[in-house]
Amino acid sequence: MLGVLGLLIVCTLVIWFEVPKLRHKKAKKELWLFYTVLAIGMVVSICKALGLNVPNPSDLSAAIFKPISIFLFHLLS
Amino acid sequence: MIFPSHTPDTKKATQSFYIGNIAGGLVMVTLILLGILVLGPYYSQITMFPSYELGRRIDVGNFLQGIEVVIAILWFITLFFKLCIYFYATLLGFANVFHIKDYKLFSFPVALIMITLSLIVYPSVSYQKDWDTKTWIPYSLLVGILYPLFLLIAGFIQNKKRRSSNG
Repeated sequence: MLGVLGLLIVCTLVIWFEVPKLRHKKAKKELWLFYTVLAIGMVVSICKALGLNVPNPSDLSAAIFKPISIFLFHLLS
Repeated sequence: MIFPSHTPDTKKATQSFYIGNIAGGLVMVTLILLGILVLGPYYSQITMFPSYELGRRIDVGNFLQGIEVVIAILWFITLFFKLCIYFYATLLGFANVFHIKDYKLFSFPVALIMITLSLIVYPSVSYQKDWDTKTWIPYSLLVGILYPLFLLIAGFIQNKKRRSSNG
């Protein structure tokens, strides 16, 4: 719970620092993108802070490259 | 790719590239040579960080000891610069993909994702070793050879098309 609270504080600080600059420049696309990336980051980090099972991206790449690596090891052995 | 698309002075950048490569290679060769000469081939094979082990063994007359601390501090500094370069490349690539001029804008959200990923990506050392031996080789083949080759061929075809349409 403490971790989630800290993350929310960090999130508000980031918005407080960055968004006024974007608002000032009237950059709508950048603002949307900023919020999307921040939302993805917040979701992933809150899941991690709550101890939920977050999928590992290196598992995905390991699954994709498994046939090639088996082939390479077969060549080398 | 920071080099050569984000370096204004290509000639100087090429020079620095070569100097850095040669210096890094020399350091690498010295470390490997020292590791084999001091620790022996078997021991330098099974230890995860031979340079740290080398620093631990330095003992000049029971006086100059504990050099491994210096090596650990050096690791912190080098890792900081490595992290800076990777983070810079990530931000530049991100800004390039979405056609944004100011790449500094996304440093906070991307840093948030990066810090969380640093905890997720390698759950343990054995997982890291397994991933490095099994997945890293085909992955680096794809990113380091096939992708640049593909880009080169695509650029070549585009250049040829443009020239034939112009002339």
